[in-house]
Order: sequence, then structure tokens, then C-alpha cells
Amino acid sequence: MLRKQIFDADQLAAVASDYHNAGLSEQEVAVMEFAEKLTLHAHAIQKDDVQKLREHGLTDEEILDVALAAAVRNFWSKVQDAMGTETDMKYLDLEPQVRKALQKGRPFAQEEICPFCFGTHIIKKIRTEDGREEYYCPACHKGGVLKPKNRYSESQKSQILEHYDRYKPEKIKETFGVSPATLARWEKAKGKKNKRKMK
Amino acid sequence: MVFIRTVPPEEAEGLLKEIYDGELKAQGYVASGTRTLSLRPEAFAAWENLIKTIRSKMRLRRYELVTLAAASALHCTY
Repeated sequence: MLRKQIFDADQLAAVASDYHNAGLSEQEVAVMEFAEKLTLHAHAIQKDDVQKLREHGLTDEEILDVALAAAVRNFWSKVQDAMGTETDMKYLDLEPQVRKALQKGRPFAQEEICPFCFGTHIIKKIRTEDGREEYYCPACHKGGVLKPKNRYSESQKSQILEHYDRYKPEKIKETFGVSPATLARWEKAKGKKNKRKMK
Repeated sequence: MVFIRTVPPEEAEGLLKEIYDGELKAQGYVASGTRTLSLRPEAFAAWENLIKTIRSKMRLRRYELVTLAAASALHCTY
């Protein structure tokens, strides 16, 4: 749990809400990034991620310690969440700025996460003409619209896709307002689904 | 409340009683997370031992930062 002997309330709130801007050392930020990636997407961790920790001065023993500590926390949280444990009353004794940072101001609000690699360092890039934000993820080099204005249902998708072979994407965009890139993505997803069915 | 049955402090026996008493002494209350594992005190004790082992090799500050990073990341996905 939280250690008052290490951080005061303001520091703790800063670290919990955005550890990249909390006055931590570069090494500490790198360690937290690693723990975060292990938690969200352990299988995406590459040699480079480990090398980065070495470059920040960690020995292999220390790197393993970080992995163990992060994973043991995962173990605990998974069990507690799955069994419905409620937060201790002690939590309510924390300073309000700390509670707020831990509760709502989570460092990684949903829209800040790359939907592909779950990295948290995405850059908000452009606003499209209808006000949607596009992003770019420096970790996996993917980008796109963050909050799609329309969510198409599966049946709508397949209806629109029926025209895919017969009409040019530009024509489809004109008629349905679906961009060629989106269309191509749907088609690809459909292909994958069919393949799976055949197996 | 917790989705499964738990053992209240006044009914605890053996290892579980030791665990509960230890927490009462150390922090004045039994943590809700500890109580969640009360049907399997052996697992709790083993986990606590594991944590202590891992922590003993680390500087507390780093251990806490790692824990915070993992915990924050976990919250966001739910």
C-alpha cells in the first residue's frame, strides 16, 4: 500500500496521476513504464525494453526484481477484483488529492491508451474536420481516430461491405460516409473471421 | 461486499487467527483483502512470504513505485 514515509501527499498524488511529470528520476520513470507494460501487455515486451532498463543502470537481478514485484501486485489485484473486495476504510483517511489521483485521475484514462499496443504515450495529433481527435502511437507506430463519432453495428458493417466488391471506395464514402481506410479494415477483419470459421 | 464467504475475526482459528492478530497488532484492523483470502490462510501466508522475499531485495521506494505503476495500469483496464 501507500507509504507515507516515502512520499508526502502531494508527491503521491502527482505520481499516481502522471508519473511522467512527477519529478521522478528518469530511471524511476523507466522502471514504472516497464511495470506498466508488464501489467497491460506482458507479451509485447521485447529485448529492447529490458535493454532500456540496463541502460538506466539496473542490473539483471534488479530487472528481475521489478518484474517480480509488478507481477506479484498483478496476482493480488486480480484475486481481489475477482472476489469483489472493497477498498479498506483506511483509504478514506487519505488526503483528498491523493484519493482523487488514485481514483479518478488515473494516469491512463481510457482514451489515452493506444488501442493496439495499450501503450500510454500516444500523442494527440490532429483534429479532423468534424472535431474528432486523431492520435499517433510512437510505440507501435499506429494511429487513427480516437473517439469514432459513429459506431457501426456488425449488421450495418456487413450491409455496407456488400458493396465493397462492386463499387469504388470513394463511391461508398459518398453514399455511406465510411472512409476507404475504415472500409479496408472491416474487409480485413471479415477475411480473418471467415478463415477462422473454415478451420 | 465480497462475493464469497469469509471468516469473521471472532471465528478465526489456527493460522488464520495468527494472520488476523498480526494485522490487528500492526495496523489496528484486518485489511479487507486479507479477509477475502480467509478461507485459504495457507495461500495468504505463502503469498505474504513471497512478497516479503521480493521486497527484501529491493529499495522500498522502487518497490512502491512498481506497485503503484502495476496497480494503476490494472485499474484502467477495468
